[in-house]
Amino acid sequence: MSANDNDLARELAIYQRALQREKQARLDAEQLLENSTRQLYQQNQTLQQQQAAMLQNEKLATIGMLSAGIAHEINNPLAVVLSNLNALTDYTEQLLTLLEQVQQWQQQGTLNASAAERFTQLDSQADFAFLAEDAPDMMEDMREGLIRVQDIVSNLKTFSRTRPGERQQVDINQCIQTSLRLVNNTIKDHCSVVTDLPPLPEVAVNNSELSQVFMNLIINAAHATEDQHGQIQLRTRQQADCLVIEVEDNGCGIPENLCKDIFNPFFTTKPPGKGTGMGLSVAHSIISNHGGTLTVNSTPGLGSCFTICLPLDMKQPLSVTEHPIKP
Amino acid sequence: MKGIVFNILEQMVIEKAGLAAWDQLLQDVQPASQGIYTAGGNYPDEEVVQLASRASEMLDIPLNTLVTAFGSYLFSNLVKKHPVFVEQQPDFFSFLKSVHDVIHVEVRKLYEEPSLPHFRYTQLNTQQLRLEYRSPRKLCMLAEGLIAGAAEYYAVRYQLEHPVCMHKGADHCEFLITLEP
Ligand code: HEM
Ligand SMILES: Nc1ncnc2c1ncn2[C@@H]1O[C@H](COP(=O)(O)OP(=O)(O)O)[C@@H](O)[C@H]1O
Ligand SMILES: [Mg+2]
Repeated sequence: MSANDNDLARELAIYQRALQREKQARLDAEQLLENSTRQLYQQNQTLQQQQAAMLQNEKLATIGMLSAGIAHEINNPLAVVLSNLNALTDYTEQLLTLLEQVQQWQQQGTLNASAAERFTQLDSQADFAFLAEDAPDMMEDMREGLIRVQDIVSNLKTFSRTRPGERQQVDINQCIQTSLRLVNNTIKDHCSVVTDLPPLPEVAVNNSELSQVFMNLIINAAHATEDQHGQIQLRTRQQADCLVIEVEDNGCGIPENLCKDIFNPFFTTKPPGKGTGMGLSVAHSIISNHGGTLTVNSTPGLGSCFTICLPLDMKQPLSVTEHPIKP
Repeated sequence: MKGIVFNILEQMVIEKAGLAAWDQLLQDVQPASQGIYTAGGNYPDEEVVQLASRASEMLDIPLNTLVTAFGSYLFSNLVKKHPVFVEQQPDFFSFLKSVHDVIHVEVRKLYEEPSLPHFRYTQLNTQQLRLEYRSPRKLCMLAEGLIAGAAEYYAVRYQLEHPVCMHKGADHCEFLITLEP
């Protein structure tokens, strides 16, 4: 090899190494690009989810405002109807006593002939025996119906309130135990409840509102497990600066396409008379007002888990104005 | 240090001394990255220091002079890549004052986790600007070069004093820039 060839070979080697570096640098650049593309995709995904959640909140807030107005409108006539019904029940009782008395006189033959004949005539038209038996039942059914309406209206009010009521330092575990005792009668027939409640720091919350949330979740879980041997698990834990509360059941689960609806007011899959569809929407609004989140994770056929995250350091919610309620 | 800085250093060495010199430089220094630099990647700060030190020996140019020359070269190449920054600023001083609050802020969006210095400015009068530089990397010579590059771009002549320096035990560097008529 001549000196010239040697130089050429050396130069070639230099270029080959440079080419090698360029190639690798390009591959590295492509990797970087791929990573940022993936990151971008994930961030976009999160953004879309947050947007959907925001829309949902917006919708709930609008419905909340409407329902506050409706609740107010229904409340007054409802109070009149209920109190009149109570009076009417008393009147009916008195009239029935009179009827009973007349029936007795009739049997004892104390009535004169024309009075007895008039009574028999009236009785054949109206069937007093049936009337006397049916009227109290009807009154009772009406009262039950009206109390249900009252319940819905008061739920609507809680739902539409943007500010949580009075707060005090509460041991969430104790609040769960109390709620459980209150609903135990309705669920104990077909469900067992397992609790895992390790000691937690206290949080400033509205005790009765949170209790309402827990009862709603527990009753829902019990409904979901009605056809099988149900088990409900209640768990709490501290995670970073949040309290996490889970209500899990092994019930029917929630079809994926319904998950977005279950927090809407009046959404229910239960037969009329069994569900009002207000439980979860009220629970959602109470937890939001406390600055927390209520989410669900469910597998149809296997069960559902409702998770509440409550911030330990609870701030007042951003919107501190009550929805204006027009008289 | 971002790969873009290495890319521009490589380009300068090849332009001034040839590909063989850059190849030799890599053989001598044996950097962990094997000399494979991608603009958006992050590489150890030491590599740029080692490459510059070795280059200064090889080319027999004092390290400070070389780093400053590189700063000026780096500037014109960064501006080629991102012309908006100079286009937005009408003159030399307003450009310098925009480095911290505008340019390096944008750099943070373009490059992931860049290591950037901290600058503070005091305009003493129409002709004088005091600039405080703070960075754990103590690259004040590079800053001087970048300033030189900027002055060239804006076609101004200036005097630079460097009375306080991190390499002399201070916790920051001070540049006093005085415009010449
Ligand atoms: C006179 C103008 C400028 C000065 C004095 C300056 C100063 C500096 C200094 C000293 C560093 C090294 C890092 C450190 O010291 O901690 C640096 C890094 C950097 N600067 Fe500037 N800069 C200027 C203009 C620009 C411009 C116009 C761009 C254009 C995009 C830019 C982009 C960057 C980038 C990409 C880095 C590397 C960051 C890293 O390695 O992670 N700079 N700058
Ligand atoms: N634990 C659960 N398992 C399965 N489905 C549930 C559960 N909790 C709630 N759901 C579904 O969400 C709907 C809305 O619940 P909710 O707002 O409490 O109203 P309601 O219980 O009156 O129907 C229920 O009708 C049911 O379809
Ligand atoms: Mg319910």
